[in-house]
Amino acid sequence: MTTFQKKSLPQILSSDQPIPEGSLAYIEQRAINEFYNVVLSRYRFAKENHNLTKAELARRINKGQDQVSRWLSSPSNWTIGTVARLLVGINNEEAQLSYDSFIGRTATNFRAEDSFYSENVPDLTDYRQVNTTHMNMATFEATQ
Amino acid sequence: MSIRSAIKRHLRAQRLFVFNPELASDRCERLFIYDKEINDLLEGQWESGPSARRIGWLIADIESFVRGHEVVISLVPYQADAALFGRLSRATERIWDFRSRHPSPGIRIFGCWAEVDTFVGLGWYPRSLPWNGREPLGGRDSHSWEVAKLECKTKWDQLFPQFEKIGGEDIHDYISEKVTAANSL
Repeated sequence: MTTFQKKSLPQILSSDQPIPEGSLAYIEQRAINEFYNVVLSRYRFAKENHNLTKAELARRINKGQDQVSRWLSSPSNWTIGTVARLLVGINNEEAQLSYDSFIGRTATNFRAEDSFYSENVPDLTDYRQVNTTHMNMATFEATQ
Repeated sequence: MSIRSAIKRHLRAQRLFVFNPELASDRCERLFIYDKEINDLLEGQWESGPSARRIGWLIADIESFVRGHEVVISLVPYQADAALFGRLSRATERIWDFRSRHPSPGIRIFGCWAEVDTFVGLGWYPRSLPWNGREPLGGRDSHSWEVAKLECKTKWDQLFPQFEKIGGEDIHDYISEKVTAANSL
């Protein structure tokens, strides 16, 4: 029996071989999910703090409420235009792009299994409270 | 013994596995734990071949949940529509599906909530088309759904005979933050 050792994404990308289709699909969906996360966090913020309704958003961007519901439920079938339309409709905003290499990022000091295996690492709930210096885009957005 | 201790025991015995993001720089804010059947799907040689792209998308969707991204869930059976998690019919059974819908065939991972922010996946199924050697679940009245739910329930009872699944009628009973109910969008 052959033992298969899965390579990490940075290992795959560090090779000069063509990037495997599975990895490319992961990277595509990761990007879509990042956009979705930002848009939904902006929508939830506007809903909770400025009483934005789905009906009002739909009216602002000239779409039906059913269409807006589908967009907000999932990023399936989103285009870059969908992102632009939703963000401007929610709070007159646009996405600002930045970029960063997948390779060479600093590892977080917390992996999922740590919450089960390490006696010294706080569990998931505590971790959220102590690790406030490492803010990704999503958490940054949520605090705005 | 807590359910966390029971999970730890199953992780050590490799009856259960815990999902980590592809990049070590991504932090985990929620836990997605799964059985060997799902592990075989996720950890297989999926970088190439016809299943590769679908599994790449599935991994990205699970990762989005684990990284603490915004999530839409549905407490109302048959009305999950595009939500990432949906509670399945007969809510008292406390069985959910994780829904990676795009592209076709959608993949459903059946499972239960062990704690807030901790989902335990106990079986996977293609939603609408045969895929990767498996028949699809089919329409919502299909017998396959009942079989899949029963398999999920049986696995839970074998792994956690002393522990009840998490239940409740508030979305925050399942996910602590950055969560929206599908019917309140």
